[in-house]
Amino acid sequence: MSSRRAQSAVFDAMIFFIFILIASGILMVAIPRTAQPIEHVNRESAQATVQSFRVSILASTINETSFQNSSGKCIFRNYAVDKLLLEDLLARKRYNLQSSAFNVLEGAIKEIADALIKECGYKYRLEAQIIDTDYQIIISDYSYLPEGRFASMITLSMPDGVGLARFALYIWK
Amino acid sequence: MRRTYCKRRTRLGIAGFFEDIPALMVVTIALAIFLIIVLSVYSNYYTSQVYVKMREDGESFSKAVRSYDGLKSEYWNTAGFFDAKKIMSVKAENISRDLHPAYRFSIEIEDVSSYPTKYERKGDNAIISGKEYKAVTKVSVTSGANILVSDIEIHCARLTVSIWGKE
Repeated sequence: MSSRRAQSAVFDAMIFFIFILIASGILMVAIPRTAQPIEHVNRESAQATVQSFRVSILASTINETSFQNSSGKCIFRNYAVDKLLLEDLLARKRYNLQSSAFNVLEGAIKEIADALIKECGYKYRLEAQIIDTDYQIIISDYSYLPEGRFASMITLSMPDGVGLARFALYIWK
Repeated sequence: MRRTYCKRRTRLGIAGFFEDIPALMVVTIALAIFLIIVLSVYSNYYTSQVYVKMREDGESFSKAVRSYDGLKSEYWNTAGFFDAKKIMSVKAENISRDLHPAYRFSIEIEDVSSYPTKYERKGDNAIISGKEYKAVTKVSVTSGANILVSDIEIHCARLTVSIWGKE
């Protein structure tokens, strides 16, 4: 009976220790949740970034590029990328050309997109498609679209006035 | 054989105060753990809040730069469409005077087009408001932009706005 107080003190200390551990756990979980999440800010930032990338690529011009159709080589000088992609889609629709005919043209667009987007640490996929058809252009190193991507899209009229084309840029880390 | 026993019947153990030392150690360790966790959680919270605030300030400064008349093309008059001549002549002092940023800043415009002639401000030629400190939080905001050389020649460009240290 004489050592009962000492044993009781250790027991109380252990109870205190457990309470402190629980309180610390609650702190570690609760406080970060009350803080404004960094992910939210980064998401908004990435959305604004993809929008600016899409506008920048489509509005920029290419000094000289071309594609091969049945009647010869079509050369374009100082054409904006959105117009080049529309011409590409139109040629595919009219002449049913193979993708390889547009290697030079799409390669020139890819060069710009690589220099703009890849350097920032993003992966990307640029798509152009005549809506409700199978005529589609994909400029990317990737054949898939992962979860957690950010997208910016715009719809434009086709040069022949028949149908609409949708341009989409996807970026992800 | 001689029996040993306490002279007084108290609730203290045989060793008296020393028997409380293990309990005291447990309490001390518990308090130390709690203190370390509180400091670590507060530090993380404070750092993330500083980062979020700076990130927001960086975004709004980047927007202001994209719409700044000292860079923007008068022909297109759209945010992010810069005039090639203005890019080459703009000064950090003018941007500080007109946009009143709360931080020191650097603005880099990199021409990523396929044209042989480039209009850009990057590296040593970047638009910088003051010396860069290494040990402070720095936030960079990157976006796409365009450089208008003429009405038929538009270069693709990357705009990187960085802020650090209060002015």
